[in-house]
Amino acid sequence: MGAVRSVATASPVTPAAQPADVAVVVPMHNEGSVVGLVVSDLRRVFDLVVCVDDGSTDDSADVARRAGAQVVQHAVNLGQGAALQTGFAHVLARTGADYVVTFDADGQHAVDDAARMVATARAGAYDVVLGSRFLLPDAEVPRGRRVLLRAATAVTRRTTGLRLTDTHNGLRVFTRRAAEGLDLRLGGMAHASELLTHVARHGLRYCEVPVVVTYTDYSRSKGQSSLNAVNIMFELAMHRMYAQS
Amino acid sequence: MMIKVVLLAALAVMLVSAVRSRSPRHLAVRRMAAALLAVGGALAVLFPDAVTSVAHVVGVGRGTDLVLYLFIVASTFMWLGVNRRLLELDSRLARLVRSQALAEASRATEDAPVGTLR
Repeated sequence: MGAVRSVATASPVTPAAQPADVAVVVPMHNEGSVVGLVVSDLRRVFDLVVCVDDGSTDDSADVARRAGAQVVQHAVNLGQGAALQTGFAHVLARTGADYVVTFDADGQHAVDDAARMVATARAGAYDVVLGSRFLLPDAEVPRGRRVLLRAATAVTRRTTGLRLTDTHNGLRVFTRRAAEGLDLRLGGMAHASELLTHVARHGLRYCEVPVVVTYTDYSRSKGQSSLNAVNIMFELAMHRMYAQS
Repeated sequence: MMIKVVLLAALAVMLVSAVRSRSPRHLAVRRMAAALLAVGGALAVLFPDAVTSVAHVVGVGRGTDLVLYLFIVASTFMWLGVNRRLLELDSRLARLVRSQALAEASRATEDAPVGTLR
């Protein structure tokens, strides 16, 4: 069933080509201007879209709901890692989904890629399928962003031992079993490394799939500044220190 | 100089206590340290010259300097304690907000079961 996917997205007339055993989790924080489009795009292919509104002060939740998503709302902002964890918890408790996709709310991911990754998880019996923007030969990644991501990837590779090319990509697919084991505690962007630490520690079967990341002015303004690399490292170090408690 | 040993040892203890988990024993140590600090402070107020003598014993020139060093050490301990407490509070807040969010969402989906959402 994996091969049908790209055809289905190419003709938007065809409704929900994905089987209903996939849930898409979209963490969002003040993304009202773009999340509607992201959700309706997703809904063409995926039945179940869960938006986790991380204490937005704009109309993100209403926009997402109108576009056809289930919305889970944090009363206050907790950070993307916490939002993802809430999304996983909701999907596991309230749906029977066998696969959970994580998808950024700012429109930088392609729905085709998500569908392809689900197909990969199905076919290859992987627990975790990760998107990588660096596996495409002509990937257009802004220079500053590239340097930051390379550094973060190098560190994460060292600490986890996973052979990956892009450790901070928001597009991922988890099997239900893999999602059940997750307990993300780090609020900031360090959850990406935390997630991979989990994959390494539990010996989950993983693979990377090339995906397109579209850099718009919007996603760039919402994205990580280079100084955030320092924050990621710090949060990770703190996490190590307090891991035992 | 003895003061270097004392201060470095204090820093080492700080690092270790930051990493180790909070236990009743840990709390007892903190309380004893606080009591010691209070008694020491009172003595220093009553007998200012004694501070200078103690400073000389551990190799510090003036009593004022010794007080400053100990103040820095003590406030760093406090900063670590507060920071740790904040991290704990953060994770409690996350759990609270999450359970509230999930409860609310499940109420919403009970009204409109999965699949009928448009």
